[in-house]
Amino acid sequence: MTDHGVAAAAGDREGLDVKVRSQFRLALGRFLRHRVAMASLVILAVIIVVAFSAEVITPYSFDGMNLRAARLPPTLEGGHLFGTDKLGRDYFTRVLYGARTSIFVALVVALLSTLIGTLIGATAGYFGGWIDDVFMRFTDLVLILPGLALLMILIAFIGEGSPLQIAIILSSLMWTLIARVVRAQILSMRTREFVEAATLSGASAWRVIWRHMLPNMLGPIIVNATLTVSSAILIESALSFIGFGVKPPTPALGQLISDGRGAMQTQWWLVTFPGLVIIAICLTINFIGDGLRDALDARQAQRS
Amino acid sequence: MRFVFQRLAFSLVVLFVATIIIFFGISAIGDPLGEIRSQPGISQEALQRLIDKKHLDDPLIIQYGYWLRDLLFNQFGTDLLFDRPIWPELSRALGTTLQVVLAAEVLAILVAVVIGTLAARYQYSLFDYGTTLASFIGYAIPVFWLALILQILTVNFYEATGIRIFYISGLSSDDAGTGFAWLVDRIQHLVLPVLVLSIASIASHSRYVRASMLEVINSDYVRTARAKGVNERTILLRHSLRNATLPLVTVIGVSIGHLFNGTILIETIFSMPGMGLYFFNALNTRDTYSLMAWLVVTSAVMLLMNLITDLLYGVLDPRINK
Repeated sequence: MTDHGVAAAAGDREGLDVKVRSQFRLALGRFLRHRVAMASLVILAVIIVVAFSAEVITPYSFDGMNLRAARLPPTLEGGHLFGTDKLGRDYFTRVLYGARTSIFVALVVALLSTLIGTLIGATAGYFGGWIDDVFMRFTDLVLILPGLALLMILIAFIGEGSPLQIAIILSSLMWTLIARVVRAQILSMRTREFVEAATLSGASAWRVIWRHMLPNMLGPIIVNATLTVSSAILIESALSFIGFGVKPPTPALGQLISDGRGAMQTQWWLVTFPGLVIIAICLTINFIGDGLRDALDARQAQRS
Repeated sequence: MRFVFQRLAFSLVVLFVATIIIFFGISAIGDPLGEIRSQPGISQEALQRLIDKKHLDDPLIIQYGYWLRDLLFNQFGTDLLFDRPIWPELSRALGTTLQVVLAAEVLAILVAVVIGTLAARYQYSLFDYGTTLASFIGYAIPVFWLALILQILTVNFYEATGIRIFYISGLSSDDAGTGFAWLVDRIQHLVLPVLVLSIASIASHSRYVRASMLEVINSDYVRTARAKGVNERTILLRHSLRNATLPLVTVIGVSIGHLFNGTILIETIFSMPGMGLYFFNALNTRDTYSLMAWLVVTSAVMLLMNLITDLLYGVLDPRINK
């Protein structure tokens, strides 16, 4: 309450602009924002490099058992940073291999959904007509049917799948986000002067889209592709957790959590560490996405 | 208004087409009786009875016809393997899930309005940065993982102190009692699932409220109110808050969709007999009929939620109905 009064008084003193916000604070905000994105980029790069060079980094193999070292809590001794499971397998190694699978799936999903989404979104936005109708009805459908359930039904066809299969199935629903973004951008650009000029000077539809419109919406596309990576990791983990994801013995983070669940009350590390890695990956990606949004879209950067 | 009903009609058509695709799709997954065939001691006659009962020897299109008839006139008919009526169990499951989902959504809105408003009012403050960071973490946490961690903590706390604050599975205790005791018991069961389910919604709603609050705070009529000498508290609570929370209504429909997704995970983890667990079991036993009933009920609920939010928005914001 006193805080309130002080802020109000400060507002009165400064006249019309009541937002008390010094240049230093502004600069700090911008600085922090970029520093967070940069730090995230470094952390994510480290996670990816470590995950994809697991063979070199840990002396243990993914499924090498050692019953004498079973159920060890995290310890520096023997380098079991994340402890061991009931068969004495080094959990750090298992988490690295799991992260590798999950990152691979997410990157493929982002790539595929961006390609499909851009293509369909551009077609629907530029030409309209039945393609647009079908597209809009499909998005309606995704809005009224729970996506996770649809994915589980699709995955039920193949049992559990290889990482690539899972990635393709995830992409088959997740392209709609980018398609909606691209469609909206195209619609807003269609009547702009530079597009009309290009059309009038005889450029074909695809040339207009490809050369004139696409470069103008690279920002939103890149930002949403980045966010697709993190939601793909979350969705893939959830699916692997309930047994509709990557087929064992290929490890995935969600699957590790599911395996560790039975013993989680006594061996907390089995559930905790894979989850923390998921959070680390998603958090850094989202920060990077946020930084990119600010960097790529000057208007939004000023507003928030 | 007309637009709203037009969209509803479109959605119903889309839903109808979807049931056809999904019925044929699920039926194509494999032998629907595979599960039961693999059990020892099932007689050939019993199998044949099942096949006759569900018309499994007929073409798929005929099977679909029978399904549609049961849907319209027979309350979804019976399930595939045990010939139990679907609706009693499904409606119980729906009741459970609606409790969880609506509680989570209400919790998310209340918390988000407080956080979003304060973050916007004290923009660039420590509170603002703190809640921004928290919402980023909220987006990044896998719900199923958070559920397990909370279960570990709850059990450890119980073992350490002997005090049971929350239950980690089920919906009620066997000896729940009646009246107030029953209510307390139910809440003890619901707190963890509802909390876990609402985390992502709290994160996204509070960002949404913060953004629209900032827009309102910097608008002309707030400046006018301030120039007139209205005190800050009234400006915030009466002039700004109402307009800033209005757009939140539009995202409730989508948000409830996400929550329904979440229940598939949450109900499996907390062993709650709701829609999510129902779906999970139906899919695992390849029970086409239970699955189809689940799909129809879930999408009907979603359609209804979207319709309500559309209409609600029209009522709350008179500009829309023009």
